[in-house]
Amino acid sequence: MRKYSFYLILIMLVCSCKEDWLDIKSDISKIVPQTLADMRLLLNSATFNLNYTTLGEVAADNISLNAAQLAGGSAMERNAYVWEADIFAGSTVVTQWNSAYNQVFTANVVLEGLEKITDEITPGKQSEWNDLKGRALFYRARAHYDMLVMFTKPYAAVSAGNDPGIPLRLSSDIHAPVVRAGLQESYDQVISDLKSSLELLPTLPSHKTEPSKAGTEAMLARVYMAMGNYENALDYAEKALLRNSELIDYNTLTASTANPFAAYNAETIYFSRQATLGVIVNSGVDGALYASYTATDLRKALYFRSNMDGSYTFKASYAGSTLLFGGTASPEMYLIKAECLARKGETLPAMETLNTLLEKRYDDEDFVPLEAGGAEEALRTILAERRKELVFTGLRWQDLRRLNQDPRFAVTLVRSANNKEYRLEPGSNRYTFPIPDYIISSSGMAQNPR
Amino acid sequence: MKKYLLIIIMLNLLSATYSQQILRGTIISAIDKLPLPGASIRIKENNSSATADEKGGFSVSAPPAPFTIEASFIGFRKKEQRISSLPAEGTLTLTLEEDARRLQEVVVSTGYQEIPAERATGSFAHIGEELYNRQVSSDVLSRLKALAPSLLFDERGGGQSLSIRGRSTIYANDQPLIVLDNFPYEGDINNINPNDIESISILRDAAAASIWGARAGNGVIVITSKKGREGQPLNVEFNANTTVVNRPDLFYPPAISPSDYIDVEQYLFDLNLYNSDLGNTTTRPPVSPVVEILARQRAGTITSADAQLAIDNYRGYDLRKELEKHFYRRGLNQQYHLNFRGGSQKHSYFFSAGYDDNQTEKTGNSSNRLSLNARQSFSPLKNLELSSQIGISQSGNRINNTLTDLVTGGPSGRVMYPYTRLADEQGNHLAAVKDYRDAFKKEAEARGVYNWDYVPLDELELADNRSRRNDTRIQSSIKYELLKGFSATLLYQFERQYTEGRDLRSAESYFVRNLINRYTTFSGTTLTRNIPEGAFLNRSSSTLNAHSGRAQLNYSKSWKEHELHALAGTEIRELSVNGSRNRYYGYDENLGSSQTVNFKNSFSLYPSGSGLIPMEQGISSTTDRYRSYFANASYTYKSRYTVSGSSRMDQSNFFGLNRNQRAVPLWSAGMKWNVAREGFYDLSFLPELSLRASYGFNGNINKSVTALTTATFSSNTLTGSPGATISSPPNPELGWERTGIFNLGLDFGTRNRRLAGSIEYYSKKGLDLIGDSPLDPTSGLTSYRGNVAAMKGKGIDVQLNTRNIQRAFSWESAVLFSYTTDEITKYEVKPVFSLYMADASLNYSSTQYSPTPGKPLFAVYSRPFAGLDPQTGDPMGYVNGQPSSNYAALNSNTGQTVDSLVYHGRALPPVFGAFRNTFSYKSFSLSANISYRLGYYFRRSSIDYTALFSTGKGHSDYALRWQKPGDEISTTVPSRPAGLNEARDYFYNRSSVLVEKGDHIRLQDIQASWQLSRQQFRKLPLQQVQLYVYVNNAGILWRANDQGIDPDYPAMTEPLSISFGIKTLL
Repeated sequence: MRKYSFYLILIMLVCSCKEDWLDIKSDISKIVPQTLADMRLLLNSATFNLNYTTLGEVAADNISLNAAQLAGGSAMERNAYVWEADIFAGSTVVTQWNSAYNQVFTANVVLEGLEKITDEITPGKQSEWNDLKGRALFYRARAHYDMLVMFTKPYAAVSAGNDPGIPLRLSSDIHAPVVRAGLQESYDQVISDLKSSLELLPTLPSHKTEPSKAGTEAMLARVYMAMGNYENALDYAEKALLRNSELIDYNTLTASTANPFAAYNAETIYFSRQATLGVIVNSGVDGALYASYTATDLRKALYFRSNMDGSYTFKASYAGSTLLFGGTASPEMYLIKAECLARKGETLPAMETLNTLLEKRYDDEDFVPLEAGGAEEALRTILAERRKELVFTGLRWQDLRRLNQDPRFAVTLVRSANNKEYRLEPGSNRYTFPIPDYIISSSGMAQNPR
Repeated sequence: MKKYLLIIIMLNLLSATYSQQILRGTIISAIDKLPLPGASIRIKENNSSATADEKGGFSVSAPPAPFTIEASFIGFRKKEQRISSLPAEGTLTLTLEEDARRLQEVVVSTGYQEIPAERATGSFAHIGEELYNRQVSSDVLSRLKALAPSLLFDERGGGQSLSIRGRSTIYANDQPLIVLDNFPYEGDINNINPNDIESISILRDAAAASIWGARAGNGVIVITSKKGREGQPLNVEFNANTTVVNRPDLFYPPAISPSDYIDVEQYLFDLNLYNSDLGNTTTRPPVSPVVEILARQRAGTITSADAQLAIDNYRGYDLRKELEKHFYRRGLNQQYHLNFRGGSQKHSYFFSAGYDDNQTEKTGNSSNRLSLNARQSFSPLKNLELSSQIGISQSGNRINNTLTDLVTGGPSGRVMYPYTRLADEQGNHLAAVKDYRDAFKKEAEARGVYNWDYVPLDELELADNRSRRNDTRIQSSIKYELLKGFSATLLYQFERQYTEGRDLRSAESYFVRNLINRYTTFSGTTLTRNIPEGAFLNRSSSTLNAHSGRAQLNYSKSWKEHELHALAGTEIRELSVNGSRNRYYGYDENLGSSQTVNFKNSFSLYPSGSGLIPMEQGISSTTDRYRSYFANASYTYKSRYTVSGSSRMDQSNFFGLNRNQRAVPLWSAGMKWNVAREGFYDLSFLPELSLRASYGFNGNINKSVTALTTATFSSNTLTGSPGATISSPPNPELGWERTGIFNLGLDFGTRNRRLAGSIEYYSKKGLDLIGDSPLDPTSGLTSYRGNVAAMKGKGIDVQLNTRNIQRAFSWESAVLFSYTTDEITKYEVKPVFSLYMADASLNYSSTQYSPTPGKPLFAVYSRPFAGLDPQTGDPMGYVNGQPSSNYAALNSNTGQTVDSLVYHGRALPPVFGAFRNTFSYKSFSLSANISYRLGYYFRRSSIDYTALFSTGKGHSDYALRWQKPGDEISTTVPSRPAGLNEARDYFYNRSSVLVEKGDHIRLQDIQASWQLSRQQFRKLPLQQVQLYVYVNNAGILWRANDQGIDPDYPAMTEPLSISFGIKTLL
C-alpha cells in the first residue's frame, strides 16, 4: 500500500490545482476591467468629453473664409467648406467616425462589464452601479447622436421609417457585422438610451464633465428638437431648466480678455468639446452674422475679436479654450422652451422666456424686452436670437438641417471660393456627409447619395 | 478513487509480464569502467535485444543456455560472448573496447530525458565537452558562435540575438528557449560559468522540441552541466586563463574628419545658420569653439588672420585619438575554475568554484563573477535516487565609462565636435562645450550658481555606477523505481535572482551641478536651490523568483526485439519579477542621508523654461504562470525501426480560462529507419546509414496580447482624476502561435568514420502567428492583434566531419552549412510605406517591421538610384522612368506599393556556416575555425547633410562628395546642398546605391594547445597538463563590399583577443 501512496500524492498534485491559479494578472500596470472601480476609470477618460461634429461647423454658415484662411485648412475641411461631393479625399483615418465609435465601444465594454457584476452589488454599491450604467448609456447615446447629425438625412417623421440611419453598436463584439439601422430605429435607440440613463444618473453632476439627470434632459430636449418633436422637446427643456436655470449676466464680464468665459461656468449643464480641426473653424466669422449683433448686444464684443485682415474670430468658447464648446448649457434650454412655446402659439410665455435670457445678454441700461405681435413673429424673433446665441456650439448645422424642412425658414447657402460660387439648397443631399470610403468598403454598407 | 484503482490494475498487468528467464547484466567501457548507457545487447539465438539503461544495466529474455550474446555501442568494438550457463543476477559484466578512436558517446538531452542519438527521430545538434571547451569566454552562449549548427548569432545592433533555423514569428518572442538542467533558465544567462557546462543539445525540429510545447517555437538550447558519475574516481580539474582584448579601432566607423567638419562649420556660418543660436538670449545655447571664433571675427574683436590661425590650430586635434587614449584601453579578462567530481556506488558528486574578472576595453567598466556549484546524487535504497543541485553566482559590474554622455552630448543637442580636446599637453583636463554658452555660464556663476563647466575627463573619474547580481538556483529530485523499468520522478527547482543597481552621481559631476543650477530660482540677489546641494543616488532593484515543479512517470522496457520508452507528467511553473527604482536627492555619502524635494510644484528653470523636479521612481511587477501536461513515447523494433510521438498542452495566465480549457495540445511524431542494420544492407564502406522523418508543432508566446479586454491608466486631461483607456480588445480566440515543422534527415558514416555527418531538410509553417488585423473602425477599434498572420520557411542543414589524415600527424575537418529562408504568407494590414526602408532587423524594433506577403520579414528595399545630376551633384531617382531630382515625387508614399521599390534581398544571411580544421601532431594540436555568411544585403551609412548641419553627425563620405561637373563619373556622394534639404538626404540615404552585399568569410578563431600527460612524462606531478592559446575574432578573410565594412559589426568592429591558459587534471 505504501508503494501506491506516491501515486496518490501525484494525483492530488495534478487535480488539486485550483482553476484560479492561472487567473492571476500578468502585469500589475495592466487593468482588466472587472470591478466597479475599473469601470469608473474607463468612463473617466476625457475622450468622452469630445464631440465629433466639427465638420458641420465648417459646412455651416457661421464662417465665411477668405482665400488665405481656406488655404490653411486640410483637404477634408476645404471640401466640407464648399460642400464637395467627396469630403474625405480617400483618407483612411477619419477621426470623425473612428473616435465616435470608439466612445461607443468603450461604453459597451462598461455596460457588459456591469452586467457581469450585478450579483456582487451590495445596496450601498447600487447607486454607484446605477451611476456608471447611466453614464455609459448617456455616452453611447451622445456618440450615436453625433453620427446621426453627420451621416444621415435630416430627420423627418414621414420618411424616417424608410431612411437609412447609422450602424448602431450595442455590443462590444468587435467582429459583429457593421450594418446601417433605419433612421427611425437609430433615433429610437438614442432616445431609449437617454431615457434609461435618466433613471440611473444623479440629479446634478459632481463635475460638469460627468453626465447627470440635468445633462440627459438637456440632451433629450436637443434630440427631440432635431426630430421636430416640439412637445417632448419643451417637456425636457423645462425639466432641465428646473435643475439648472442659471444665466451669466454678460454685463459683469470683461470683453477685452482672450476668452471671457471659463470652462464649467454656471450655465454649463454638461461639458463637452468639439474635437479640434484646423484653424479655419473659428477664424473667419461670417460678416453678415457679425453685423446682426446690434451695438447694445454685449455678445458682439464678448464673442468676437477682429483680425488684422479685417475678419473676425470667435473667441468665446464655453470650453474656456480655443476648442469649441460641444456640450449643453442653459441658454439652449431657454431657447428650446421659447421656440416650442411659440410653436404652440403661446406667444407671451415664449417671449417672456426669451427675454429672461436676453436681459443677461444686452446692455443693462439699454435693454428693452422684445415683443411679438403673434406666434409667427415670436418664432422668427426666437430663431434669430437662437442663431446669435448658440453660435459656434455645433448647433447651427443641426438647425439648418431642421429648419430647412420648413419653407418659411429655409435658406440657401452661397459661398464663393476657388473663383467659383457654391450653393447649398435646402433639402440638398449635401446636408448629409458621405460615410468615409474605407468604412463603406470594409462593411459593404450603402453610401449616402450626395 | 477510480484513478487509484486503475493504477493498481495497471501495475498488476505490468508485473505479469515478468515471468520468463531473464538475463541481467551491465555493459561498461574497458578504459574507464564507466557504464555505457544506450549500448545494445542482442542474443543471437532468439534475436531478443535490449538497450543498456543509465547505469549500463540491461535485461533481456534469454533462451536456455548455452547461447551467444552480442554487445555493441557506437564508437566501441562489437563484442560477442558465449554464455554457457545463466549467470547469477548482477554478475555478468560485458566490457567493450573502444573503437580505434574514442568517440564521444552522443547522448542528447531534451530537458525531460536523455536520448542516445542513435534512437532519436528528431533533429538534434550536440556539442560535447571537448568541442565546447575549445573556446575561451566568460559567458555560456558566445562559445556556440560558428560552432553550433543552424544557430545564427546576430550582434549588429550591439546586443545578441540568436536564431535557430531562421525566424518563425513576427511579433512574438523570437529567442530560443534556454534550458539548464531540466528547467528553463530565467535569470541572466551570464550568471552561468561556462566551465561548469558539460554539453549542449540544440533541439531543432518538432520531434526534438515539441516536448517544450508553447515555448519551443524558436528551438531550444539545452545546457547540461557537469556532474559526477557513480563509480568514478576523484577527478580534480583546474583551469586558468587570461585574455587580452585589443583596443577597438575608433577609426573604423566612417566619421567626418575634424578638418572637413571645420570647413562645414565655416560654410554654415557663412549661410548665417548659427545666427539664431548666437543671438539667442533665452535658452543661451552654446556654439562650438570654431563658431565662437568666427562670431568674434565677424564682430571684429579678432582679426581674420588670428581667427584663421586659431581655427587651423583646431584642425590638428581629433577626438577619436583622445578617446582612444582616455576612454579606451586594452581589455583584460581573467578566469579561474576549479572542480572536483567523482562517485562511489551510492553517491556521486560534483563541486566547483569559479572566478572571473573582466576589465573591459572601455576604461572604467569592469565585471566580476564568483560562481559556486554543488551537485550530488545519492541512492540510499536500491530503487531510490535523490539528487540535489545548488548553484550560486554573484556578480558585480561597474559601468563608469561616460563615453556615451560625451559623444552624444555636444553643444545644442549636437554630437560632440570632432576636434574636442580632452586634455592639454601637460595633461590638464579641459572643458568641452556642452549646454550653455561660456558668456552665460560666467554670468550665471557670478550670480552664485555652481560652476557650469563640463570636463569630460573629470566625469570619467567621478562616475560611480555599480550593480550587483546574486543568483541562486536550487534543484532537487527524487526518482523512485516502482517496478523494473517503471519509475516516477519528482523535480523541483527554485531560482532567485536579485539585481541591485546603485548609481551615485557625485555632487561634483556635471549631471548634478547642471540639474541643481537649472532648478535654481532667483529673487533679487538671493538664490534658492530647489534641488538641495549634494549628490544624487539612483537605486534600482529587481527580484526574479521562479518556481518549477514537475512530476513525471517513466517507463522503459525491452523485450525480444522490442524496445519501448515512455514518459508522461505534469509541470507547473511560476515566474515573478518585481522591480523598483528610486532617486535620492541631496545625498550625503558619509551620513547616508538624503533630503526632500518638492515634486508637486513646477519651477521656473534657469535660464528658461519650467518643469517639475524629475521624480525617477517606479514599481513594476509581472507574474507568469504556466501549467502543462506532457507525454512522450518511442518504440524501436529490431534496433532498426523507431517511431516516436510527443504531446504537450500548456495553459497560462496570459489567456482567459475558456481558452485554456479549449487548448489544443501541441504534438509531434517521428520515425527513424536504421538502414545499415537491415539484413540486405551490404555497403561495407558505409557502415552507418539511417533516415529520419518527423512532423509536428511547436508553440510560441506573445505576452503583449491577452484574451481579455485590457486598459491602461491615463489621467483625465480635463479633471486630472485617474482614467483609463482600452488598449486591447477582448480576444477570446487568442491562442499560442504554432509552427508546424516537417524534417527529413539522413545520418551516415563511412568506415572508421572517415566521413560522417548528417543532411537535413526541413520546411516550416507558422500558423496562428500574432499579427495585426484590420477592423472596421465602426467596431470601435481600427485593428487588433491576434492569431491572424502566417509565414513559412524551409532550409537545409548539413554537418560533415572528416578524418583526412590519421597518423602521428592527424587532420580532421568539420563543415557546417545552413540554408534557411522565411516568407510571410498572410498579413492583412499594410505596413506604413516608409517602414520598408527601415532596417528593422538591426535592432529588432517591432514597431519598425513591415510584414508583407511574399517577402521575408527582414528584407532590404531601396528606391532606384539614377546617379548624380551632372550640373548640381544632386542625387537622382526615377520619376515616370526619367532621371529626376523631384524629391517630393521620389519620396512620395501615397499610392505606392512595395513593387515600386528595389527589393535587394534578405537582411539576414540565408546561408551560413563554418569550416573547422584541426591538426594534431603528438601532443600538439592546432585548430582554426572559418565562418561564412552569404546571400544577404545591408544598407551602408553615408553622408546625411541634414544630420550634419543640424546635429553635427558627419560621415567620411563627405570627403568623396561631388564638387564640380564631371565628378559624377567617379562618385555617387551628393554635393553639399546650400542649406537644409531634408527630402534630398531622405532620398539619397534610402536609394539603391547604398545597398551592399553582406557576404563575407571570416577567420573566427584559432586554437593551439600542447598537452602533457603522465603516460608520456612519468615525473609529471599531475595526470595531465594542457597549455593553450586562443585567438578570437581573428579577422575577415573576404567580403563582398569594397567599403571595408564588416557586415556583422557595422557600428564598431569586434576587437581581436588572445587568451593564454592552462588546464590541469590532478
